[in-house]
Amino acid sequence: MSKIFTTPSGFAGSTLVQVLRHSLRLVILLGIIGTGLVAHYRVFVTKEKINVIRAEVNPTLARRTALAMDDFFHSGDDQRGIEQKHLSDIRGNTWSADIYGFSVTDPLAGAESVASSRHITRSLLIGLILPVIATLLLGRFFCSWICPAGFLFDIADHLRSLLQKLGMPTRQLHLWRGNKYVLLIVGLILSAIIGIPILGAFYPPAVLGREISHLSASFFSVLSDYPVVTGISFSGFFIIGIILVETFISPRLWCRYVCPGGGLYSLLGATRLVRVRNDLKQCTSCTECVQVCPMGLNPMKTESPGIECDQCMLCLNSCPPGSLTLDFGLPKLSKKNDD
Amino acid sequence: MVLPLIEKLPLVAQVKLRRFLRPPGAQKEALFLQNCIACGQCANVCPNQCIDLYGIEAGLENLGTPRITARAQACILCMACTQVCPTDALEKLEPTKEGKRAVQMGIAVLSEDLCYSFAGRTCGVCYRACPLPGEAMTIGLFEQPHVHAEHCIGCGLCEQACIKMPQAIRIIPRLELEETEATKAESS
Repeated sequence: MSKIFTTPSGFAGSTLVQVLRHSLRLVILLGIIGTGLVAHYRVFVTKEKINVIRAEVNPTLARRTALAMDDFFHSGDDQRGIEQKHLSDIRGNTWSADIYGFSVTDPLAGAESVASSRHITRSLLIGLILPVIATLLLGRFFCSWICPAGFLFDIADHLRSLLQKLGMPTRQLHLWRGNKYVLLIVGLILSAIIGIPILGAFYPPAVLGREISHLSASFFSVLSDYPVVTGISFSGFFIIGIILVETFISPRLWCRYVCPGGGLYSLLGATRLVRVRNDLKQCTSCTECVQVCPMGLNPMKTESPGIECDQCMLCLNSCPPGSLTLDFGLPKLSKKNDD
Repeated sequence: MVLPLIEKLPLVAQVKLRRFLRPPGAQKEALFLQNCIACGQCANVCPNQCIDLYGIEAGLENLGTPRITARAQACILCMACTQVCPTDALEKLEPTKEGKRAVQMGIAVLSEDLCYSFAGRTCGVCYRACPLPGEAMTIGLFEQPHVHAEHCIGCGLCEQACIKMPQAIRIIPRLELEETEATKAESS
């Protein structure tokens, strides 16, 4: 056991961590909505300015001349003109974002883009540095700490338990856990063959970001003089469908059995340094952690819940004897704990 | 290690003809679709609000990818979208004359039957809208515009500016034009 450091007992398993986790995901979900709205609001305002300048330069051809635009963009000491000023400091969504010039791209986006284009570009490499290193260190933390779709699926979980309390029958459908790896590999090969990154169309965080972007763009487009009808996407129904299925048929169906992104994060985080460990001597086999685990794993039976653990720390919170701890240490290579 | 394995896979990419323009800096349609991850950052930064995103209406391959409808709102070539693309699906370009000349969005095609200037009524609005006047478009007698296809970058400002309804000048996406020319050559 190459345990280097154990968290101070109590903190990792405290309710404060859960509150932090939920609020972080809520902030990210609201942030995606906010950045979409703010970005399109800024665009809306700049566009109005551009139209005013066009009208001033040539009133008869209002909005209809590019020579005015040249003056607009190449005036003053800054040759780049307005183009740099209007760029939003925070833009994008969890699929691919840019925070104060710091580019972050989802590893799944990188993987499928590399597969379909058959080469890796410099910008993509820069964007992948932070997420990949964080996943190598912390494992599948994206799913429980960042993913905005996971937040909605958590709400579906609570809805499910509420319905159960009200006496509504809910089903417990279980699928094979390997599905997500199969889907990941098939999706990447398919992307390479058809030459189009296809996985992003079915990946809930990407779908959510795209829908919000569509909606905010449409909102401000309708306000402008020349409304451009943005694309109609029915991906929102996809998310609602998953939530309904998870509420009534199978708890956490997508995250447990289907999500290709979760599969990629699991594989990347296989040798992660921070992981939940179970002290089998103290464990009283009360099955509290098994009941509470959103990923349907079994932290009780083995020393570590395996590569699919998403570091949500709910099991630490629930453990009555305190035998579960969050450890920082190198992985044990001798024994495989994949469940 | 993985890339050579991917290289061995067959590529059966089928690119359909499209009606909308891609943002500046986009390469040929097949290459663009391979790289674009549909993150929508280009639509977020466009100060002109000319880039919007495809929905499901044009198929899964176009879902979430950017498009420009030149007649509604044409590209003003500020190159903001090319600066933010996280996968270089839009090649980074500068908003200078040289950067503008590197753009290959499409080619303006003039319909002389519809054009006011060719009907004896001088107009010349498209020439005044052109970001590369004298290069991509020159003007003749009665302000009759002449498009020079080898220099035209396809920004669509002339199409947006055209006062004729329907427009007498329109941008054909470069790929679509290449395809039609290829089919014409085959048939003849």
